[in-house]
Amino acid sequence: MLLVVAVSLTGCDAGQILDTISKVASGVAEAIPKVREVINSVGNAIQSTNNTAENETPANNGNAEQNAPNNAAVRITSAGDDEDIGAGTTGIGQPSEAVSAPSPSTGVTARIASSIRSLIGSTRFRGADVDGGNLACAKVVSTALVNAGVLNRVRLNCDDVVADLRAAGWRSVRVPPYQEGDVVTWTTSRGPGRHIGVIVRQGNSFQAVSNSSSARTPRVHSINYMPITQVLRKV
Amino acid sequence: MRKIVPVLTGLLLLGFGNQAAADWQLTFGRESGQVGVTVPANAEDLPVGPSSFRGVGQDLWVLDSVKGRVICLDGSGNIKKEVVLPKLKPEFILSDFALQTGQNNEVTGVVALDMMAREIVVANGEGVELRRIAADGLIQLDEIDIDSKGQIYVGDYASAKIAVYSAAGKLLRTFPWQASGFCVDENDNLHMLDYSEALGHSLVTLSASGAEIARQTVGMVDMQNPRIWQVGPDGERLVSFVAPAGDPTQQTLIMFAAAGEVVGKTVFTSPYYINRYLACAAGKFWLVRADYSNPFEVPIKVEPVSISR
Repeated sequence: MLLVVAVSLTGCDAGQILDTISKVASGVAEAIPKVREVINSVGNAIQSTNNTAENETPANNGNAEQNAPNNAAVRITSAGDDEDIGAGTTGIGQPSEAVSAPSPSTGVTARIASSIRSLIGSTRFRGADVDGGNLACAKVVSTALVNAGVLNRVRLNCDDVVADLRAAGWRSVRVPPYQEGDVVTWTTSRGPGRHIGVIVRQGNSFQAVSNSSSARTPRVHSINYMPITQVLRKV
Repeated sequence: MRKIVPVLTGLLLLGFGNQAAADWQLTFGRESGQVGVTVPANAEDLPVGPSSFRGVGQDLWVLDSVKGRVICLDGSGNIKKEVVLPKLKPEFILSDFALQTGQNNEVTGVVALDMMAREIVVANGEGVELRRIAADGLIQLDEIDIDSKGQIYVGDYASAKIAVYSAAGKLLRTFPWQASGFCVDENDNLHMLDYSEALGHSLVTLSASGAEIARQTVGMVDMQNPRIWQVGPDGERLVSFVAPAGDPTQQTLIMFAAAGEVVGKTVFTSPYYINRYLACAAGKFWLVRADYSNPFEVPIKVEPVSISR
């Protein structure tokens, strides 16, 4: 189980934020059993400094953490599974294992695309196992792949989905060109390969469908909206 | 294995720094003339900063997505105008905006998309809300434009269609769209792209009433991810593509003449996290360079794009 500690800050300058990161990280590393105490003390400090920042727009742009009131509160949540497992991803600048020309959607790729499309806008990925939709990307993609007959189990972390695909014969490919049904992972603030989606096609526009932490639902977006870690394809 | 991950979500603020000639540089700060960015540390999502940039005359308009407003910078980098989008809900995701202009490029209206609320916010040039349109029937609100009479176009990637609303907010029609950008010219015609396996890409023009009035096939079947950005007063259209191979962030920018032939070309690298990153105005083009994941180190730069003719 992943214990997620979210410190929400608003109206702080860079120094305060970096200082807070350092304090929280240090406290957690040194005293895991006392982590709540550490966090709460940091949160109180932030609260006191933040009291001077008035009239900031309580904007929410995206994250479950930000759904908390804009008062620099400390929020502790628990996700059902650890998405921060392992490595083994291929950077976009590294040699891929295969180069494959794009081809029209076949039965399998069309099924994958259709399956992931059917999940867009769904509110079913907001359970406690995915932190209310904040960490649902692997579940969304593996659900689509299971429904398409590609995988046989739903996974809650990206590396497990990638491992299952590799076991099923999928390999990293160079992009472009893109192909519908490709599975793509991105590098996020949490590291490489920490977000996953499926490429879909509309006309000659290749986009991706993945879970959105902010909207807490799968949505369509540019493939290059974040740095790509790798693209997997059945070759 | 149990892991404990400290996570920081900070609302960072941007400010505007020194200007290069005809360029703009945006840095982080928190003053009234500054824009914001949110950097998530434990979410799948991307950092959020200004999501859309547009040019009008010599000015740069920026959708300050975190603070819920649109600001205008003049050619010297000074803040010329601020339009605060009215009555946003506590949770909002501003994905795109467009400007209605009058004579001498005066901005008379601002429309913006709130993806979270699935609403179109319509305000006058002073930020007074004129109406709020519920985009029922659309799944995602991704791109928006407005013509000189206030007719609004909204593109939805998820349902692959464009919805057209009257200036009064009434849904007039929807039609298929391949999520490849669209824009409205000064004659209120809508321009978009269409692709077929047999012909490749075509430049399509629709009248304000929805009738197709022109279609020019340009082929380029090996290119992917077309996006039309702008139509000039002389009918030139600016379209970007992802090339068949190479760096996936690198795009080819092509200028098509009114008759459809290629008259200019360049290559650029697209930034992450930004929806509308090419600003076009008065025959000039600017590319936004930014890294919202590293806001303390990397300022936002808006640089001119030169197209070889």
